[in-house]
Amino acid sequence: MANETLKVAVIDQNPIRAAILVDGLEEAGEVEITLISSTSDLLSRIFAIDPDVILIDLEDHSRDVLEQMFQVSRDVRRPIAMFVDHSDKLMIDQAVEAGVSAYIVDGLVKSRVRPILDMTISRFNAFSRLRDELEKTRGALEDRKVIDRAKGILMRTKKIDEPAAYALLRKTAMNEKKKIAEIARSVITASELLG
Amino acid sequence: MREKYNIPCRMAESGSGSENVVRAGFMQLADSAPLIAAAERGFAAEHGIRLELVRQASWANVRDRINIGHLDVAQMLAGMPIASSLGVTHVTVPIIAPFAFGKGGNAIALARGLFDHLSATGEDWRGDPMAAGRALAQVIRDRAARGERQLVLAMVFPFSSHNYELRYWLSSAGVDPDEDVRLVVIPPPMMVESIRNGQVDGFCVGEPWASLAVDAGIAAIVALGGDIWPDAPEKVLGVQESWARQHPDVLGRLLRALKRAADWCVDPGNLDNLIDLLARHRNVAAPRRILRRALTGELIVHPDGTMRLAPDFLRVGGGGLNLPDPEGALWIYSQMVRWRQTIYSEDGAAVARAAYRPDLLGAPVGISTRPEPPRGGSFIDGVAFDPDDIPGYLKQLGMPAN
Repeated sequence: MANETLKVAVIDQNPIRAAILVDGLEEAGEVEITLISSTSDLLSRIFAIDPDVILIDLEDHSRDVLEQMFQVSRDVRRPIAMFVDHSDKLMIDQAVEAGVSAYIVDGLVKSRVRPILDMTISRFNAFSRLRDELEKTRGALEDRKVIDRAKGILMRTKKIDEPAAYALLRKTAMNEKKKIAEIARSVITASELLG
Repeated sequence: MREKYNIPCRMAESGSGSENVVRAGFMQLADSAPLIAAAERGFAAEHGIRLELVRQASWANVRDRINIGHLDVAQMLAGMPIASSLGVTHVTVPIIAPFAFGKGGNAIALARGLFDHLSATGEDWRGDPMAAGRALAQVIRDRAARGERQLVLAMVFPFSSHNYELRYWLSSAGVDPDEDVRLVVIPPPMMVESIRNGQVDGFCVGEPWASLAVDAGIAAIVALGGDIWPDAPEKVLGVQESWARQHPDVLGRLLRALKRAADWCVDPGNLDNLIDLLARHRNVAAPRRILRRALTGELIVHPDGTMRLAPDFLRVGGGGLNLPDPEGALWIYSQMVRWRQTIYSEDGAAVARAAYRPDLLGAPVGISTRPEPPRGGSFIDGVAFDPDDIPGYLKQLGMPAN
């Protein structure tokens, strides 16, 4: 089975990350990927696919469902958890940090799995960076809105113009060693309380 | 309001060792009570330990994070340290169990649609776990005769007492768990949904999940783990043997803290506080009235409100209950052999026995290392376990010698 196509099953409840991963694996070539997003009847789907490698979100409940496949049973091929194999601690640590778990069929040559796992780890990491950036951007947008609202409140109640309102927020923030958005939030809260 | 772990600051240097951080994994289950109480009621802090609880999504994750050192200690299923020490899944990582989180808490429940079929067998199955087993066996035979699909029953992990209890109960009723039904693994938080959508016909799970299914009107509890064998080990604290060797002092203090926490948990005066603690979103995150059922043993076993009083249903502490019982470990090992997860050997039995370490807790806190209360609970089928002759015991249970 030296150069046969590797069958990879990807189990991820996050469709965006799954798409990013599948995209990367397809570039790696020589792999046939099946994406499983629903957890219902996972075992029979896995049996039907009969994958060489199973990639799954580390925090997915369904990992326990997969663990059953280690058991001596009527199944022909037995996947094993990557993480119970200590032969490559660095890789295992990287995978856990990235939040991915891999199961490989017993007997599969490591060198064939490695590029797939490397790709998975880098894509998972890229996704979490993307998500962090998205959250930052979202936070910044939120802050913008809050500051605008607080400025409006100050302009109305103190009869001052916009630059003055902003300057007041900024000065208060500096004095109290807080972010402008935080001061803006307390202005809004105060105005809601005081009507 | 976002809740954060409220870890009490340590008092000014009192000279009793330094503060140590211990990262502990736990699952959303009622018997994580001593671990949660130790972290949140200050018992760990009193012993100079900053206990950081990390809730886990799966037992596989618990094992992996212990193996790579992301977690120092974790709540584990009774069979996990044994399976890991024996290398039953691929690689051998010696894990010891120096503390037991008590006994009981599991229930076998069947889907609503099955009740009528059980009653139609003529067995008076309500309130009689043995009769319920016989009725289920009859239903399984009838279904097979009619060519209907096999019943699907779920448990939580291959090395769980749930798996062994469910299999024991089925086989004592004449059902072969590997041939006559389909046994699947479903994580506890997905159990209720699985029975609701018809994916499974029944399950064996720890609280609060069985009570939640009864409460939703979709299942009835037909047997408790304690009906099958009251002395079955349930959850233990799992620690890598090498970690225990490198941190004997920290481990000792942690065990004493856990013992104090477990004693606090079983004091009836603390029941309401304990329920509040477990109900929190970051802990077990279940409704208080459901948690109360498990902790008092006042169970509602049927959607029609039928009650069952089982005061010993879930015992998280008291007496010697927190001492891991090496004979219990041997029983778990016997069941691993029985269900062909491993092959019997005297060495294997010795490894299983040695994985449970009552000495690490017992001697330091001055409690006898003999498990208490004295074993008196008998098995549902009356067969007695003989820890000194596992092959003979398994023959009695009908396992062919190979």
